[in-house]
Amino acid sequence: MPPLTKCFFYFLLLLTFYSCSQDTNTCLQPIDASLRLGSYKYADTSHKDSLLPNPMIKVIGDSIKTWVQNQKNSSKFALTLNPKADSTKYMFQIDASKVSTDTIVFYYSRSLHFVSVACGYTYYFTINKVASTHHDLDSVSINNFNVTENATIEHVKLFY
Amino acid sequence: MLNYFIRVLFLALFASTALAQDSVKQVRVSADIAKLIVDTISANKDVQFAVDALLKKDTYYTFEFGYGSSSVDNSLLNYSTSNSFIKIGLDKSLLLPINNKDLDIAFVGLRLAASSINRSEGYYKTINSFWGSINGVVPSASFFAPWFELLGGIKVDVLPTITAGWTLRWKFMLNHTQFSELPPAYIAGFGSANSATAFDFNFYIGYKLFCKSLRK
Repeated sequence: MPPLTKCFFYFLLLLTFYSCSQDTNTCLQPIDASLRLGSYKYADTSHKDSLLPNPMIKVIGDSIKTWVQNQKNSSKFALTLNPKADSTKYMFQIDASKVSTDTIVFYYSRSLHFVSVACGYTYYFTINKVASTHHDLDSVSINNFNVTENATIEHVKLFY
Repeated sequence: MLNYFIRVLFLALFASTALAQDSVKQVRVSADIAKLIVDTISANKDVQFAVDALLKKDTYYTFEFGYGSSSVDNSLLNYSTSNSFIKIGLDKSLLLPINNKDLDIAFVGLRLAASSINRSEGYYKTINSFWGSINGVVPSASFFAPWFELLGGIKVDVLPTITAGWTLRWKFMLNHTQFSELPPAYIAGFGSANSATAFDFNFYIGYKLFCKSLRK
């Protein structure tokens, strides 16, 4: 058999491997865009992390759900925003054993974002305004307006 | 679609007759049977044909065409696409013929390709564990996708008028950014639309419409 013909048949083996295609119908990545918060306290000319002793955070939608609980001495939180509305309301307690509570309302605009064929669509948010009560909370500032699937960005700073 | 292929086939036959001059050594029509086999078990359909003419002793001028379709049907997305494509280019043989009838070649080649793609309305669903699900519709769309291909392969005679050959292709789409929003799951002739580059394998069975000695 001529070398070229032999090579031709050897290469037919590739056809076997070629048939092993990647499964594109399984979503293997997180797609929800979470609002990320950090709690701080002022220190002279700057500010530093403020660990909340026993925080409890409840999200208020059609029902009320405890979103953060039993994360003692925490300062970083990831919250969900309602993709069906232009605002989402949360109740914050810096210490679950105390009655003092602050309410924070996040106002935003929504945009549909295509992730992939396997994962479909998700919603990105652009924060327009944050309103809050000030029982324990001193102030709120927006650090980054764009809420995407990027988990490394802190969007809102809470000052206690 | 049937009319389209009948016209192309007649065009190929007419062209092969017109080209049956001294400068034309061989004209061959081929079908990618690997794709046809995969089509039977895959949601992606890809039918590919090729016509090539040996005008010089080592250069094949090629015209390829085909059509296909794909669909996405999972819990989050539901839509379908269809497309047809054409490619023109040439293959350059890397081997010297052993004798005047030796048309077995190892080759490298280039293709310029374009496809017309139609996507149906896309039905999507987003799911959030607390807020529930949202259903929506993305309007249908049409695309024009040009790309080029670098390729290499082997073609050999398995019978006096029957040839077989495989081709490896590296494909580079020129305006892939248009697919950032709900791309076709699969583009016949190109491959997955998830990336601007694609790697592909073809296995052709061909029939020689005519063939002359290389020395004539």
